[in-house]
Amino acid sequence: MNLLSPSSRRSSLAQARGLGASGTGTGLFWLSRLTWFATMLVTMALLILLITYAGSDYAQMKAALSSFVPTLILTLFVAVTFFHFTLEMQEVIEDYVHNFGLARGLMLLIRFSFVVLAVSSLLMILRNFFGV
Amino acid sequence: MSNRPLSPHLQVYRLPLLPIVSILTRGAAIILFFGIPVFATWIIALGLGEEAYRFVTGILTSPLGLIALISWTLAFYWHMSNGIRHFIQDTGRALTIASAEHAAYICIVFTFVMTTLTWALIWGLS
Repeated sequence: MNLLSPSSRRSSLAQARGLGASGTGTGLFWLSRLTWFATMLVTMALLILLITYAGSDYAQMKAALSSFVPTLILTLFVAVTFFHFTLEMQEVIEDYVHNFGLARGLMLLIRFSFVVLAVSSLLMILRNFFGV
Repeated sequence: MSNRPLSPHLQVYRLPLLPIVSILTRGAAIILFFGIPVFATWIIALGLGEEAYRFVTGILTSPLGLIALISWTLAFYWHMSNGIRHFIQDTGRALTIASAEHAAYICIVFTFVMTTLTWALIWGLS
């Protein structure tokens, strides 16, 4: 504990209050609900986008997805959904993988590979948008 | 001895509707999780060029690919409707067995109606 921090002047009970078993309070619970809501909206938008351009060939799809609204939907989908999945897979892994090291390792693997996938996807979406 | 009552071990216990719905919601989430790399592959292939895009869409529109896509659609609507159900229940509402089962049936109907509608639109428009 950092004795210089203002929180150390509060009693031990006051510091522990509201943190619960996780030690971090309801922050993760609320964040997962927020990203769930955002994921729901943006996935509905993506489905409408895909339904609209269903059956397009390569050139048609590339042209369709290069305008502003489709690019916005795709970038938001990648940002929001990938984040939601890393949060929720943590919950799933914590529930079923009881070896602490293995659970941490799996989470790191998912986070690293999702960052690589997300950045690659975003680069391709933006490349299509800017036409380079 | 053989007439003695059994404890409700999981393998001799017929699960009620609500635990099945709960398990399927997490199952749907795990199915959706594996859809993320596929979405990324599709959008990266679109950026890479026509040959890569044709290769990926070829796999996705094959019979097995379509089964996977329809499964992801089912899983999305299922996870989404149960997410709404859970969110309402997180506020302390609809927590009696009867109302929770009622909500579960709404989720089942919603999932099948929306999946059918989505694929009818996709095949109708393409």
